Formats: sequence, structure tokens, C-alpha cells
Amino acid sequence: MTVDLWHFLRRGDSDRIIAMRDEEVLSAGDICAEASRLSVELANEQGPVFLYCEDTANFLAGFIAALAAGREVRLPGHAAPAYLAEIGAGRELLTDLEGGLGGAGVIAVTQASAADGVARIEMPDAAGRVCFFTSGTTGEPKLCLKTVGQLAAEVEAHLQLWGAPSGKLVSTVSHQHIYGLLFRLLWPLAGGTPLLARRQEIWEQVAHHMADGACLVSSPAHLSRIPDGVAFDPPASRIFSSGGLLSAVAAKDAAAKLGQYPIEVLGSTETGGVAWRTQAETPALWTPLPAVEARLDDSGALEVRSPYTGTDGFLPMGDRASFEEDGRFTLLARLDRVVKIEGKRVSLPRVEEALRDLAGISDAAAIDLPGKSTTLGAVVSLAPEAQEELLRLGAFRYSRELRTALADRLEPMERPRFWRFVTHIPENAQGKRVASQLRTLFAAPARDLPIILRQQVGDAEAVFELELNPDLRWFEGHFPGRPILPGVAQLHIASLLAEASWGSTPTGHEMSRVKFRRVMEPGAQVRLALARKGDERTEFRYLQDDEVVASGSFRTGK
Amino acid sequence: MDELERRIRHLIVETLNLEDIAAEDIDPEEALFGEGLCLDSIDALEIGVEIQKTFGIKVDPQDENLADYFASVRELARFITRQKGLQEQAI
Repeated sequence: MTVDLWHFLRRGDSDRIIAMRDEEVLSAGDICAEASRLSVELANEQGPVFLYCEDTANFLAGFIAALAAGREVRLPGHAAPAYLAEIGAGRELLTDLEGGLGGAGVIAVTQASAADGVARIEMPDAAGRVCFFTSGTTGEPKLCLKTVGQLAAEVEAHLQLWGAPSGKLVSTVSHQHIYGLLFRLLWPLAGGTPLLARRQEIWEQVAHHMADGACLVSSPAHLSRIPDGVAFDPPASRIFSSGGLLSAVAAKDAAAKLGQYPIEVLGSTETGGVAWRTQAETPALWTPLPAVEARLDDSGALEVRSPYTGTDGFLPMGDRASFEEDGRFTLLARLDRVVKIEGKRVSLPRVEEALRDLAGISDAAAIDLPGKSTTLGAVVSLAPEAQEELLRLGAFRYSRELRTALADRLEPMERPRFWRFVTHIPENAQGKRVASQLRTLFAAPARDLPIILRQQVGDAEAVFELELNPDLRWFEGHFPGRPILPGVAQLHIASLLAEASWGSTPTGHEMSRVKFRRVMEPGAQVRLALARKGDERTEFRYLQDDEVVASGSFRTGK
Repeated sequence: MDELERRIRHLIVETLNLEDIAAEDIDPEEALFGEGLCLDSIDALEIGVEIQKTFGIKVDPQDENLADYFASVRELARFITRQKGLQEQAI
């Protein structure tokens, strides 16, 4: 039998606490009332409904409403206007964002929602359709369909393995993706555990909410960046991580600071959950989730079959794996990250493994760089003692030392030619490393570009979170004793990143409406927002603490 | 000699596409391989090809002393000057 996700919708259960939002306590009745109101509206039309909410209680109301109205629910990964346009979410966008993004429906569950009495709503059907968007190999969003029944089957596996989440559920990830939807919403819902309606992004706030013992659903993006001084007291009931592999260093750091090793869940939108592990033991072996059959195909790659995939046959995972006799397995390098350098096949994971094994390197990513001939680049973060070495030798000589040290394990073509030293390897919002994002780091010589902490590139808009590292060459001599980022360098950086994002090249130095309002000093963290106005012009704005410090536009060509 | 050393330093930086270091940052006496600039065998190959092209000299891959000629910018300059002299005599 499948778990009943919706039992809270039944009469008599309307006082049950579903979610907490700041001081507000939201009951099953509140959710039901809003869902019922929306459902009546949604039942007037057919076809898919796009649902995007910041708040999980609002999301739940919209989710139930759309399913109850017999509509397919499509879940955009984020709400950038260009992205929403690309996936066709126009008028049919159901959201809790102010103004409703173009006048579509606005969802607002409040503590007073149920005041008018208990509402009735249809139970969502197991055949109800839920669509996620994944980025395909080319980077454009691809639809991935699941049914409510498949999602429920997976939640049942979670209950079987870990019981209900105890305390309350706190999360740093969004419910718009499959991992967040399953772990942060459907699992606590089925288990009867209240959840925090808002996503927690700041560790100090996470720790505050964990204060009375709670379950944390997080990702490598957060778990690899726990500030010193953050601790959970009492310890979390459980900590989960998914969306990418947690590095051994990050797993150990999380265990030291949070008191336990996170439970990592392996899977993808297509496959759903596949296996889980913790890194408390080495080697950290993956155990398949209940009802998952995992095996190797003819080429040695992992493939899986389960009730969560939505297909009858085996689905390829792309990773190589080696199995133990008891059915647990170790993941080996992915097969699809093999690139050709000077005609030789080079496995990027193999290079990364060799890099991580070098003394002083705490994490590493390898990436192929297009050009006259394809070359290999390495993005590495260093342990503190190695950072001193880097300062002493300079980036070039230090990178060559590392390259020499790789000679024991790697063939010449496997040794990276270009190097970038960063505090954190860039990841997208889901904690995944994206090739295009890594390549941006090599768009210009290292000392020309600031450290890119985060980036989000759409069709017409791009946002970069930048750290102005003090060794940027623009600070040299400008001005002695009081370095600031020159205006011409601000323009240069903006045009380099525009070029890396869209392949547009600045033509000459024609610029307009350029204003430099405040100075930017070494070490500052700034946000650069680029907006592409056709093929001809790109607007830029630098913001510091949400205040515009410089803005203008420059001409671009193709 | 200084002019030749300057050209060699630029040739190294340009051929190897070295972006984090300026030609002027290479000391003429600094070891190019192993310690020092830490170039490796592929770099040597590329520099060898470029030097033959730019200066119109022959490098004999069988020459036992090859590693010595490539030890530093200064040694390379000496090697190039010597080779050029030999080739001119031969004509």
C-alpha cells in the first residue's frame, strides 16, 4: 500500500499544524481553505499550471489546488523573467510573489485562511502529473514528468528507512526541485511533522531554528560553507544532503560543527532517489533505497530501475560504479566527463581525483577550455598553509609546481595548463558544478577578473556575485596607499563577463550614461547585474549592499 | 645578448600562453625546468619548435646536452648564438 500523503485534507484533521512562518502557525484547515479557493478558479480551465512559490505553505496550497482541479503542475526552478519566458510560463503562473508576475494568480495562505469554516477539497489523484525542469546537456530547460503516485512511493521509502522527521523540518533548499519537494515538503507532510514555510539561507538562522531539535534538509552548497562558531545544540535529529556529492572535507567539517555526518541521497530528477550513504566510514558505500535495483550495464556504468523513475526499464546514471557483495557500491568517475585534449581522451574526474590528493589542495574541479586547441584548466581551493605558499611563489610558479607534482600520476595531456585559485569552487543554486560557470573563470587572465562567488546567466540578464580579491592587477598603483577599482576596470570586467555569458564582444570603447557613484575597495563583495538590450547594447550595474555603486552601458557586437 | 634574452623571454611567455607571468618576471639565470619556472617536458617541446622557427636554427633531439641548452634563458641565448654561428660558417 502506498502512503497517504493527503490524510491531513480529511475532515477532523483541520487543526493539525502543517507549517510555521515566523510567528504564524498554519493549520491543515488554513492550507485547505486557500487550496479550495484556488482550485475552483483553476477548474475553469485545462492544461498545465506553472507553480512558483517562495513560501512552502503557499506552494502546498497551490500544489493541491492544481492537482485537485485535474491540472498538470509544472515547477520552474527559479523565477527569473527570462527563464520563465523560455519555459513558457506566462499567464498560467501561479505564485506568491508580489504582484503575481504579470497578473496571474497570487497565493496567500494565512493563519486566518480557515476562519470561514472548514473547506472541502478533492483528494489529488495518484495519476496527477507533476513536471520538473532539468537542464539538459545543452543547458536548455527540459521537462521531466513524475506522477503523484511515484512521489508518494518515494516518500514511503523515506518513512521506511528513517521514520517520520522528528521535531520540525528546517531546510536550506527550495521545494521547486524534486529533492526539496520530497524531503522538505512531502516527507514531513506524510510523517505528520511541521515544517518551516520559509527557506533558511543563513547558517546562524538555521542554527536558531534547530534549537529545539529538528531535521535539516540541506545541500552541498550550504554544508560546505558552515561558518566557524555555528553549532547545533541539541544536535539535529537528522541532516540530509543531495543535489551533488558532498566532498570528504565538507562532510568531516559538517560532522565536526553539527555533531553528525549528513545523510547523502544520490539521485537525479529523472531517476528520483537511488541510494544513500554517510561518510562516517571510509570507504563511504552507497546503499540502494528500498525498491531500487541498481546494476552495471555492459560499459560498466551504473543503471537503475525503480518505482520512482517513471519508466519500466533501467535508466542509465552515467557514473561508473563498483559493487560490493552485499549490494552496496562505490561511485567511480562519470563516463560522460571525458574530453579530448590534443587528441587524447582525458577523464576530468580522474584529473580531479589526482588534484585532490595533492598536499595543500582541499577541493578541485577540472574543465576543458575551448580555444585554438582544447586545453585543460584546473579550479582549486587551497588549505591555509598552501595559500601562504601561493602568495610566496605567485600563482604561475605555484601552479607549475602543482603540475610537476601531478607527473607521478597523470600523463602530460592530463595535467592542467591553466589554473585558478579560488576560495570556493563555483556552484549553482542547487549545489552543482556547471561547466559553463567554471569556464567563465578562464575568460580572462586570472588577475583581470575578480573571484566569481556565484553567477546566474539567463538569455538577457546575468547576475554575478563578485569578490574583489586584493591581488587584482587593477588595484596596482591606483592609488598608492589607497587602492580602488578604476572605472575603466569596472567596464572591462563587465564586458569580459558579458562576453563570457553571451559571446558578445564590446566594440571599441563606446559607452553611455556611465556613472561611478562610490568607490570599490579591495576585498569588497559586489554584485554585477548585466542586461542585454538586443545584440547591440549591454547595461551594467554594480551593487554593494543593494546600493548602486556604478552603472552605465556599453556597445556590443556579435 | 640582452636583446636576444629579451626575445627569448617573450617567446616563452607567448608560446606557452603564460598569463600569470610577464616576460620581465623571468630571471635570465633562473632554472626553466624543475625548480624555478617549473616548466615541463611538453613546454620544452613547444619552446623547442618555436625557437627553431623564430631563429632559423636546428635543434638535434639526439644531442645529449640538450637539457643543458634549455636550462635557463641565458643558456638558451648562448645556444642560439652558437648554433647561428655554426650554421653561418657552414654556408
